[in-house]
Amino acid sequence: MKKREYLFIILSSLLALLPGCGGEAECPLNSVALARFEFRDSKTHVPVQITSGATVTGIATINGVLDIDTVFNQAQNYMSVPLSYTDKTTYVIHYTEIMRDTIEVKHKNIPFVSDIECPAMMFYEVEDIRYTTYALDSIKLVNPQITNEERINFNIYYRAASAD
Amino acid sequence: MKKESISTYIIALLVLTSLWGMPTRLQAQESKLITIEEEAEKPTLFQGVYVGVDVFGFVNQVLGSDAKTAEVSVEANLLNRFFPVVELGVGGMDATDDETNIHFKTSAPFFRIGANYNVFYKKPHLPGYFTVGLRYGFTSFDYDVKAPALVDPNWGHTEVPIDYTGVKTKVGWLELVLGLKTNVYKDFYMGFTVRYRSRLSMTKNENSEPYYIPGFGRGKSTNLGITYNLVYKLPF
Repeated sequence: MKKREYLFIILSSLLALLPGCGGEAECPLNSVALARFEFRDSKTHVPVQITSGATVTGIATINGVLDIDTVFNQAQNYMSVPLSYTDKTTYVIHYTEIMRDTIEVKHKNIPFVSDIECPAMMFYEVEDIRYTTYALDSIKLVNPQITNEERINFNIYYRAASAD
Repeated sequence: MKKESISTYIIALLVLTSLWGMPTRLQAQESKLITIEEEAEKPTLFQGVYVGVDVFGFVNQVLGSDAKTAEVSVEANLLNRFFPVVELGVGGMDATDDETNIHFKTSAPFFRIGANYNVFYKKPHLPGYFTVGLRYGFTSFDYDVKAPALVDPNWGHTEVPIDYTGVKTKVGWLELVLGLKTNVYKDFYMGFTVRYRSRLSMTKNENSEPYYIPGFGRGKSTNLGITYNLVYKLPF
């Protein structure tokens, strides 16, 4: 057998011993899907902050019982809030003791598995949105797909006097 | 005028005359001479068929991989330069991740079609081939995914089960192939290929993506693969 053939066999054998080329899974850093609401001025569409003391509570009806959780209490020009695993999540924005708005989001829940080495995630698709207009002016649905990718899902428009 | 040009001219004339059914004795003699000359200079078009079996899938499995692959290839040698090839196989996986406890199962056939180009085609005395090639691969398969129920972390700990059976998917991909194959004994060859795979299309499913794609490998958009082939040159 010639030198070249020996060399080939050795190289081939070394390659065959290499482990599989699958590699490690690249799991997403963020595996939680949050609905992102941006607060904007209704006239200028410029981002605004809502009253600094505002609190947002989320409400879901589990087996006929209301379950309330505080989901947001920061002074920012947006809020990222979780959705429930039922088909409807209600948010109440408490501006003051007596001033509040209620937002009701109907959604489809989409469990998602991308890789067996990464945890399963819950995604959502917004089907409908209803709201009161005590302080806010209107809400526009920007993107109905709520996934672990951070993107704006809703724009909440406030009349200038209502914003902080 | 060069010798080759004259030959070409004469052959063309001979073909034409033979088509018209008017060959002359002189022309026939010239034709015979030219054919013998050309046979000495040019390689024959068809130089054999190679049937190969990939053993890398088996070795990989022995080394602990969850993927199971078996494939055969049929390759024709044209002019010692072009090697059209068809590859058929079966790939599967039945695995559960220890950390996430997610289970994935599939098993399906796949095929690839393409060609190799022998870089050293001008050196037929070499005992093998160094090739670059291209493949189009395709598979249509079902898979099952089962995972622990998702639990709502915020409200009431509502549980949503994850158990999807028979999820239908079709995947098409392209492969860039580098290969080396050498003659080891009589008509037996062995060699390997390194393949860069790029997914072209995949059926989207709402709840999952396949963890493993038969013939392609891990369900990412690009992949690197290896085959290690035992090849037999058919005696015709």
